[in-house]
Amino acid sequence: MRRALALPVAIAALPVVVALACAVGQEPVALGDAARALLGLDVDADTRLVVLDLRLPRVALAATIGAALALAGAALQGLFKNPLADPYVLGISAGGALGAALVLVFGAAGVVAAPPAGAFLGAAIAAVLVWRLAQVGGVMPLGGLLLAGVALGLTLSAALSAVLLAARERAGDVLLWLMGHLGGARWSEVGAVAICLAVGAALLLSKVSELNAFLLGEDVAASLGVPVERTKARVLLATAVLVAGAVAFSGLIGFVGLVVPHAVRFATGADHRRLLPVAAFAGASTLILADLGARSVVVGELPVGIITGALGGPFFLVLLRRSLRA
Amino acid sequence: MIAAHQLAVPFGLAPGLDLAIEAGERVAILGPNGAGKTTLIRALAGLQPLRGGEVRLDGRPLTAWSARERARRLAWVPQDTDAAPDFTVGEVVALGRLPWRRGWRGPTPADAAAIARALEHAGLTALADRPLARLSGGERQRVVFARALAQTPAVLLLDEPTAHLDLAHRAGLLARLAGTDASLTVVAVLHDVNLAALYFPRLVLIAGGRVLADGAPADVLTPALLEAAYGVPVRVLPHPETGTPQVLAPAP
Repeated sequence: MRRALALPVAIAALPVVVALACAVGQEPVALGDAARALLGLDVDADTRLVVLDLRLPRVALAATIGAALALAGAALQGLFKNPLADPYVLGISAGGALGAALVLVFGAAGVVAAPPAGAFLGAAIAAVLVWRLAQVGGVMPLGGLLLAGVALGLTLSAALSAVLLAARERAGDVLLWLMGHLGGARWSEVGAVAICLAVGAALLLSKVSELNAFLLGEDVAASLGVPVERTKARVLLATAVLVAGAVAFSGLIGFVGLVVPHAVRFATGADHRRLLPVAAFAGASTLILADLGARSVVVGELPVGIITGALGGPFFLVLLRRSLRA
Repeated sequence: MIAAHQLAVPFGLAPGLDLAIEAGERVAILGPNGAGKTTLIRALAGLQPLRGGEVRLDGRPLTAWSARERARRLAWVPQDTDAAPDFTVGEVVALGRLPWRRGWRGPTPADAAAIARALEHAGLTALADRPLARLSGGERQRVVFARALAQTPAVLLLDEPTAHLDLAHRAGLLARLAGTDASLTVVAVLHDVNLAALYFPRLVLIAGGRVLADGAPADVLTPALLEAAYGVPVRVLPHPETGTPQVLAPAP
């Protein structure tokens, strides 16, 4: 019963969360007015400006990035059968971070679109690298892929540290960018992430049964007729697209991709046919709420990555304790 | 039905292994640890890279089958059943229909019927909604068995399906296996020679990557062959009820 209800609940919650996030802020709007503005009904011009032009792009960016991260995390946890896997485990995000840092430090001053472009390129290069490094003779052992990803991530992070050290006067900006940011979101950015989300989701959602078979072991999946190497390559490509899109436009937002799939699994079980769609909707709502927290806790604004980490970590520990006791 | 021709697997099987199994046969593969039993059954399943030789299914080399076509004819039950504790029994058994799925279509009535029959045959109908984490070892092994049955294969390959079970559960699983449709070809790697003799009309004894003996229990379970395979002198006595040979370890 709970398993069947999870998807309708997750879908129904998203518009409520969107309306809430569009209502709350420095210029508070009544929840009803925010909903009316979102539905295109008649409201005054100020409300429409605040809700549709100022807040909605940011909320939409949070939603698409949260969905992308949760999808990527859920898929990788399933592929590796490893509860610690998250979207950043393959080093793709470290490539994105390095790419963004290089652009922020060395080049293209004043070109606003440049850091996302650098991040996306860095993530794409890292994804190709990890794929090439983990593959031997057309076969990509999952254990090797995981280790190659972790090692590549550590190497790229070391390079990032070197870049920060070499350009200390810009290090603060870079760190702030990397910690996760959704402020100043524009519709063009939302559109770019939405394309990544659509591509990644389509690649993953058409392989949910194959991912289920992987949970029984790679050999069992092969004996069930799953083309295992093609499926692995497809999941790798999907997560690379999702992570590159997310990192390029928001930096490294932690814990959403790790915690949301686990939390969703409590409701849906392991079946990816339910898990992936619910995780996407739950990830969207979660990051919208985290970002709402980031812009409401103090005067000014916290990087949203700090909120997701600060709340996601303890939340994960509570879930962990519950499952250990069960 | 399924046959190995001149198989060779480095560090697994001695070059030139031959084994032919006809449709509907029930064959147990026996032998000491490291004899190559698991390598052989994995080779029959198409999961083992070969150095030489080939496996044929319906007269056609396994390598010429698509993974999906093959999975409709041939099911495999592994030694270690990888736990996926969040799955329910029904979800795992339903995965047996994966090779039959077409495009985006949901489960067909044929799928539902195959799943229901497999659950029924494995005695799991009442447990269909239970998560794997809340099953006993014996029940979990039956889930893997049911998943393979749901594939509605022509050939069922099992790698030590009773390895971690107690005597009652071992005999119970082999009885369920014996009770499957007579047209199903079954090849099982087993450690328990006595249960193998009781439930399988044909035994294949393997040692050092070679077939040492192949035939009815009375022809294979002889003291001389068993000592050659296992390296210890054993006693062989008839089972009091059936006369089937049963093997006793040497007294210390």
